[in-house]
Amino acid sequence: MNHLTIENNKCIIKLNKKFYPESIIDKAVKAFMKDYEISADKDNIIIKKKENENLEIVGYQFCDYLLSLIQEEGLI
Amino acid sequence: MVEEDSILDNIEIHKNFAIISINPKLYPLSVIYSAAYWLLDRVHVIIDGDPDTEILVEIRPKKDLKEIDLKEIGYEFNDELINYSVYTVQATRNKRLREVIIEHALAGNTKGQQSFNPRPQANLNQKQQCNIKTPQSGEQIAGNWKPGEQPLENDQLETVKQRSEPIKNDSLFKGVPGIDTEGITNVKDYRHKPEDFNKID
Repeated sequence: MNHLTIENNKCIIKLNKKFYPESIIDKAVKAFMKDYEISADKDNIIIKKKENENLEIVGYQFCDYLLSLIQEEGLI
Repeated sequence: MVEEDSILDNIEIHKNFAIISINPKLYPLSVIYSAAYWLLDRVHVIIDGDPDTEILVEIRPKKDLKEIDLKEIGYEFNDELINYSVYTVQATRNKRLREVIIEHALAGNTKGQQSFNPRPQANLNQKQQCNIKTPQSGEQIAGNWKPGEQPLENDQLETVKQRSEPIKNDSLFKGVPGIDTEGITNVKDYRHKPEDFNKID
């Protein structure tokens, strides 16, 4: 199961919307916009290479951040 | 000795990652999120699958932590699922008790604050009758005199004498014009004397 795909200096993340609500994804995208070139459409989240960052690690960090936001929402 | 795989083993090990399979009928999604969150310091986590039939949790070790046993992490994840499940059950059972404790604590704080609240202000439009005799300037309300401690003033002594020794009626009208002092003197003293009671059978 390939959730992360690296191609053409882009990291494409495919996530199951049943586990990651859209509101959470929007929040995470806004948070990552400060440091990365990131966008989200209906099915995918796309992170473009800006400097010399490792896109794979950034992609997984984004997924971890989604989980932390879900946990925060649960606490509230 | 060959190690046997458990028939209940829900961990699938691959080269760079592992997949943990979870029955959603045993563990609610909130518990799975909590257990996955607990792993984030060591592995990257992605959740997939079907919330009704099977939930798949993919774990990948973080690159700066190379020596990680994915199987061990998987077992720890299973332990955390049980841990958070127990926590959730206990939290549900104790929910009402927690609410009562908090209510009591807040009520206790409120009571303490009420004891320091000033008395409500009187309605300024209403005139209240006050029957309490207000002291005039110089008048002593509560006497500090105790027998033997302080001698009586002359006028106070006179007052005591008058009470102990009844005054004749005519002396009450001394100096009052138009009063027949002789007639008043002849008026019987209204105060009963002890011999008066001897006549009673």
